[in-house]
Amino acid sequence: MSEWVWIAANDAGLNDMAVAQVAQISALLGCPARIWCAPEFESDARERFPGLSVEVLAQLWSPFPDAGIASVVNARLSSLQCVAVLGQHSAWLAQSLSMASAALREPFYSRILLSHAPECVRSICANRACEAVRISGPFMGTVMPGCGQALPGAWQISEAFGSPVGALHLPTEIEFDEFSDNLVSLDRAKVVFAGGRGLGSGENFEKLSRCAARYGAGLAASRLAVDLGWCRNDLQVGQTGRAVAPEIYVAFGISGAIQHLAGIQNARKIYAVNTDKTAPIFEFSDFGLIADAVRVIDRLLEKGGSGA
Amino acid sequence: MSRAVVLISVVQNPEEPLRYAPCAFARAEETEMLNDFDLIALESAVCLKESGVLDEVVVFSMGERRDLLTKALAMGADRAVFVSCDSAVITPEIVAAQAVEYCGKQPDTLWLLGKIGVNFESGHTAHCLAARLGCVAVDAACEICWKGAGVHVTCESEFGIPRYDLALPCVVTADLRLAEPRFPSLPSIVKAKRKPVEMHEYDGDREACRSLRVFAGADTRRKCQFLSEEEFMEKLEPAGI
Repeated sequence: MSEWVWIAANDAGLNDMAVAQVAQISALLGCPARIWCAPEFESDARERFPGLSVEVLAQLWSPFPDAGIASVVNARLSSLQCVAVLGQHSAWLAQSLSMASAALREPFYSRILLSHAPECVRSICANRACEAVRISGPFMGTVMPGCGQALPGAWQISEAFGSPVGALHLPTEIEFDEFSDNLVSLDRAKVVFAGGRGLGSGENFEKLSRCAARYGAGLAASRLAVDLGWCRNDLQVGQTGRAVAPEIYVAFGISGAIQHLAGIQNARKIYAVNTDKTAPIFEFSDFGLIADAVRVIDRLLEKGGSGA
Repeated sequence: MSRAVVLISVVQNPEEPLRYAPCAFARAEETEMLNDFDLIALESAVCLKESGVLDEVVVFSMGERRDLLTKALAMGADRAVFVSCDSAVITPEIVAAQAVEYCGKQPDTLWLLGKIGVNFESGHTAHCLAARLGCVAVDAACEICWKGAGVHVTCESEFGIPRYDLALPCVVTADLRLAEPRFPSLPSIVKAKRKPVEMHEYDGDREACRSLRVFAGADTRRKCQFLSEEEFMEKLEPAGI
């Protein structure tokens, strides 16, 4: 009996969107899903996916894509009739599944857009273009937020994953400076404040950081802020950084390079503050303010806030 | 001594308007360029060579633009290996297989490439390469140091900073902050034209396109309402601000 695997290694794989996507993919593949989750999400997973096999894999969640998911996935797959392994798109899941599928010599398709079913379409080129790929055998992939039609059997796959060709070679990390997260998680924040070059200095970025903390908002940055050393790399939002989908995204002093825009297009409302009225960010935002971002931040700090 | 092999891909400039052919991006010579991330990887390899730890830097590329490799040679690579084929056919698996076939004979090799190509963004080539070589691949390096017989690599991830000690051969992908690619000087461009480029013909299926079709994504532009500072602050109120 064939099945496919949905990896819910954190709560992004268990939200309402994920439940709808799992239903759609099950119809497309013509077989049921098996949910793999980390131990702390077991009860959530059973509640959100009643009637499906839920397997708890202790090493599924690891900040190291290398050490955790790839080896666990390949070890577990050999005893299943599995035709696909999918999860919500994020950089670490994409790296892990890329590693796992390379060892199995099967294709890996990241950033799949389910809204284009029955075609299997990937979002490419900083979300500006799409690529339709052929499904001709078992594959691994990551899906972008968004759902489409459940067209039964549209992605019929007749073979399951086989055994790995050769051993999976994993690095032995010698040190890992884990980020102890004091900040509002970007994935869950309803409001995100982001800072870019227009802030002018690390001190001003620090002000933005206090402002975000005051209002309980998530903190993000453009690539330049990270390059200039104003903040840590995990705040970078964009094509190769994080993708965020808050209710409100406020961009302070960000010009709007396409690579940055690729990370924020699922935000409900985008507010931009910039002194340059020709900045590309204004073509992609709902509300614009031509002003000095630092002054606006000062005002927000004065105003104070209820904050979470 | 050890050497580096850098995989370089040719991309359509993502800043320019994109044009589409049935199953690929429409070829537009004037807007094609070498992938930024791969150039960062190349710069890091050239710096290692200049510090004396590497014997040579070889660049490997596939497609139709052998002429663009002059820039890579001018940046400091010693020689190039080029496999000529239709760019629409190129997939991560094919690149890995061809790179190992033509450059994979020496074990003491540091394989470098960008963490993604800015067009297709698959990020899969490094892992295909490592699977074929039977070695380790690490992603998103922001620093590479030579250490005895191997490399010490610092990577960036959204959860922390992992650091690895890797023996050769190994595959490392470059992230944005690994190096700043140099602008080759005119004399180095002139010298580059005399550096050896080994040419091969792709011997696989020349008709099998990578994609079924490539087309424009949804328009994500929004209608911006410009507000005064007061109105702007008011609009933020629903968020508790």
